[in-house]
Amino acid sequence: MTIHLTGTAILLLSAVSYSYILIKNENKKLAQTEDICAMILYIKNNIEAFMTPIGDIIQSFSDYSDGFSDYMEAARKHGLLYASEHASLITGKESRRILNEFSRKIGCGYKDEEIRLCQYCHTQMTELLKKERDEFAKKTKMYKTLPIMSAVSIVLMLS
Amino acid sequence: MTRLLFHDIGGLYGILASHEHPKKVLFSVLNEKEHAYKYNNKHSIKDIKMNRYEERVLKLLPKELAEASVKAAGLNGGFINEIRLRLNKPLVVTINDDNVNGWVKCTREHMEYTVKALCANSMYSHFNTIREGYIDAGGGIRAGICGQAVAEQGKISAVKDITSVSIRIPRRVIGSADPIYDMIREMDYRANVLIYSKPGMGKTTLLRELAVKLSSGPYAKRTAIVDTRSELSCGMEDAFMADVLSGYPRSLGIETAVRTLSPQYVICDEIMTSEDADAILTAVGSGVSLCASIHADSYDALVRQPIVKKLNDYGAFNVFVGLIPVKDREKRYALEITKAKGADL
Repeated sequence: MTIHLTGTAILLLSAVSYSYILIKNENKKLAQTEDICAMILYIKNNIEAFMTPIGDIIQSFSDYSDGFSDYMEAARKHGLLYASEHASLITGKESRRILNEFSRKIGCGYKDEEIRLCQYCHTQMTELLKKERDEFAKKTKMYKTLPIMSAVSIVLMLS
Repeated sequence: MTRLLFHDIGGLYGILASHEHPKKVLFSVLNEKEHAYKYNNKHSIKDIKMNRYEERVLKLLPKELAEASVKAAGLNGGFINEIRLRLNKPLVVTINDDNVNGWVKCTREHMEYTVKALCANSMYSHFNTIREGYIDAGGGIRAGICGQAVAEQGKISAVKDITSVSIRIPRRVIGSADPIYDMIREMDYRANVLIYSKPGMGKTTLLRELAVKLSSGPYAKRTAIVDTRSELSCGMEDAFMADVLSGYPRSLGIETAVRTLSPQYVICDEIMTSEDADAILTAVGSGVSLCASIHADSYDALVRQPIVKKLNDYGAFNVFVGLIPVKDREKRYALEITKAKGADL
């Protein structure tokens, strides 16, 4: 009986931990998308108002989550393109594609073109962010219930 | 007018050859011999050492072009003066005034990479200078560019599809301005000097050295440097009395310096317009001495220029220094000094 209870407890605990990790990952992913969005907007505002060179803008951008610090470090050292190609990000394929496109094109045009590029990428990222937020709400619900339900079913089947 | 010709013998001693008063003077004008062959017989890229400006420029080029430039410098011996990229044409490296083929074709990707690197990945922040045909890459490095101009109401509003990039590498030739500086001192700092030569001879380098001499050392003068294209004031760590007006239009820079900095000397590069001439006349009229440079391949061609005629009418400059090309591998030019009537030498 004790063994049964212990096994059940372990199974449920694992399920809860797994749920927690999944939700945390999703949270990080969402935060990274938000950071990309904020970075693009910050770049746009700095170009529009001060025509600051990209390098200086990147150096001064500080409002981002911990999960984005790898990317920012690489961007500060080697530039945006290098960072978007090499830094570890867990964002989805679509946001990665937008980021790559943005990094490749930014700095190649004059002020108006750059602002338009930023606006375009920011709009795309905002739409993506909205989609990801909706998905996050659904996924969180699922991640909270599914592993625990699975664990409970296994316990019932084995008992 | 008294015309004097400095001629270099072995790079260290020269003869001040005047029809009336020949005498020997010590100068080290074209003393590039110690540098000139430093890359000779160095065929491995690893063995070739570049000066700090060359290194900085090479970092702005795609790897392939940088390697080709280093090879050209190594095989031909000498400083890289210029690196030229032309779309779909081979890279050309100018070394000691010789144009050397780099044997690498410049592609659209090479051009885009280089322009982006020159602009520090921010072409928009170089918009104004690109319209004027150059990119200031900082630290005295300047690249002349040309491509497809977008004109609006007769004015260039942008340059697209850049097809040529000519990167000029600044350098210090320490001692090159000594004879001119000595002359200025002999004239009790009342010499207004106009340096002339054809493009690419070293006017800016000479002017830079003169600026350093004037604004450093025990007899340092308050020197205002009007650096329109941010290439004159590089490597001036010793010039503790120099005020640099970087990026100012020339005439405005001269006027601002005279009005606000109370300089004893004003230095400016490549005067061209009548506005520049007016600003120079104002400065000279205010009692400020001035050193400037201008494009002209001989003294006769110089005095025929309308701007110089105007300046000469008011006696703005009293010393004219020409950089006359010399066909010698060790030196690029001899100094031809012409003094206006009444000025003591």
